[in-house]
Amino acid sequence: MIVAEQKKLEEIVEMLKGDFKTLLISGCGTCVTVSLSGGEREVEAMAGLLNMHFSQAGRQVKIETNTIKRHCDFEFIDEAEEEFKNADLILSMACGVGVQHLVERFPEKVVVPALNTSFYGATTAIGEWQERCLGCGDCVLDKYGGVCPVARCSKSLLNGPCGGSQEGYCEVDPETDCGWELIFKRLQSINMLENVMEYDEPKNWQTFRDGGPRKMRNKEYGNG
Amino acid sequence: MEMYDVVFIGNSLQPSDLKSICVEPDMLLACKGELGNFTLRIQKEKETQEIKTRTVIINLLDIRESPLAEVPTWDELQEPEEPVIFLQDLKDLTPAQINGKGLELARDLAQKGKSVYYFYRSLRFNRRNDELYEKARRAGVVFYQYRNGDLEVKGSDGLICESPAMELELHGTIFLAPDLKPNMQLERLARIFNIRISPEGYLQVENVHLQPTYTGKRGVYALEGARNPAGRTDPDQEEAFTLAEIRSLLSNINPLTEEERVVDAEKCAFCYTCYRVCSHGALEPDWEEDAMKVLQIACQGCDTCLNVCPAGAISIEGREEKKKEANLKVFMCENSAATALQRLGKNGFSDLDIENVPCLGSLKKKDLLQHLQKSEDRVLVLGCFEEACKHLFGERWGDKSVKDIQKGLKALHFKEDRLTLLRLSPRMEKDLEKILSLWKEGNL
Repeated sequence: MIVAEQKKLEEIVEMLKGDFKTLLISGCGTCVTVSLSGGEREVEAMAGLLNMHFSQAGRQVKIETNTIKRHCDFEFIDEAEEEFKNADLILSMACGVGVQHLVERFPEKVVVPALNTSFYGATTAIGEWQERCLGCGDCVLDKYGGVCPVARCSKSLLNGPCGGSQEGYCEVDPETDCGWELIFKRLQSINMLENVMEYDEPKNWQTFRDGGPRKMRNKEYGNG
Repeated sequence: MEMYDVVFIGNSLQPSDLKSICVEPDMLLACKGELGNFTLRIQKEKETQEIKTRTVIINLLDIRESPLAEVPTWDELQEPEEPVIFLQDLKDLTPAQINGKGLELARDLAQKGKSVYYFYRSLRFNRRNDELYEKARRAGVVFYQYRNGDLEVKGSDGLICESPAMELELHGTIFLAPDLKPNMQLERLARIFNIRISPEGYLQVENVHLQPTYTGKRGVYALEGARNPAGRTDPDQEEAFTLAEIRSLLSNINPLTEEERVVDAEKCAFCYTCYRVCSHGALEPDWEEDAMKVLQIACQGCDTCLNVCPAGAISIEGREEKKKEANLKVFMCENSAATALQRLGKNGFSDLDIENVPCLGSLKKKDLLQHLQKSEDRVLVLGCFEEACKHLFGERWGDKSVKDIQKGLKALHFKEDRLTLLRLSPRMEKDLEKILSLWKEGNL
């Protein structure tokens, strides 16, 4: 899922300095609800705090809230069309995709983000997530025993480890596991250690960001 | 399908009046349901089968390192003039039953004329140990209470004790109380039953409400090595208590609260947060609805799930939201502050809007903020101390809600005294009176 965290309130308040009468705080009911940053609970708390802030500043701002199922599909946005249209400013508590999707759907509206979209990750404990995939567009997990060198090695090395691997930890951050140590141990445990003897050609990064913003079309469902 | 009264995971106590069966911990794959109607999925020789039971007792042996059982016999104690040294609580506090074995052996040796020293940090008393201690003392055992760090064991037979009170060097046969390690199956069992696990890895977390053998989940009990050694007392008494408790429960399985907590399946993001947070294992996935559901018998009514649900999907059926009544709002946990207020008898605080809550865990950020909107609004939250929370970790989640709002208030330059959290016990009525009086005046 997409993992996000709330921006500092100071930063959010700075974005809300302009002149507007109605503010809509809009949460998303999918990834950021699960990653506990932008679901209904956080939307309502944000509304409470911002309302106090505007009163203190002597500003007359009407705060509305909604949390729609997914900001990344227009059909869900359309369900709440009126609420979006009635707002002078929208504070989105969805991920970066959601913010932009709202802008595209309502080009006349100003939408500002309340979250920092962090990464795609898995839940490792209550309220804790770890990055597992970078979305490189060319999956190599088969060769590395199911541990991704692109996402788990700080340097995304396909032929690792580097000299900075220290007792299982990464030189970039001593609390981060060395991705290559994980790959090595994993391959050892499934008797596939000979995989590391193979030299991997440089990766074609065109399927990642180097090819510019990516598009994807499912041939079965998509047009053409 | 047959319904058992008790399923023993590990060792059976073989109660003759209860219909029971014993399951090896590694055979157990999953558990669904709640008190009165658990379904256990077990694997037996590659075949999977289901059994139904009303209650579960997890009864496993400890993993013991350097066990007392390997103590030499009297004849093996080669040099009669050398003293015998008993040493317990070296790493962690030694449980009562092992403490008892040590006292028994120390007494026997002293009675036979041996010079015996008994070093301890804390004697774990129960009825039997009380008596043994007296007898050991009378037999001439020298007891010495040390503090953490006072002792050093030198080789296999030397001991140096350095404390402000005395310095002592002894040589002799040392009997070390065994280190107990949690059974390796416990972590898995905790996951299967969705029971919270202690930092040491035992099924019973340290909490006054879990004595003696409760796990926090209704109808699931932990015995022997499934429980934290420091909390264990007399095993026979604990076994007898557990079976008596089950007998009484079986005749009267009812929900603990009248109100029903419901999950709105459309709002539920199926994130498992409630499942992971609930101290009572009272949530379960409902695959037909593709959402979580609250198990009504297992639910103990703390309402922490209502607070932590990120989708706001859990509510109490038929309950309306309370509206703001005064500028000064006090939320009191009914298990501590509210009881203290009752004990106080008089209530000179009619100008405060006092609301009792089942647990600090139930406090939603939204509700706290609702009472802070006007500039003269202040909120005081009074709850239980950590290890006295009836809902185990409920207070922790309330604490988090409060801290998160306090952080927000600070960022927005509001005065810090707008929202305050304090902890009390039900017996602290005098403190409560003082707190309320001072807080009312803004002088806390």
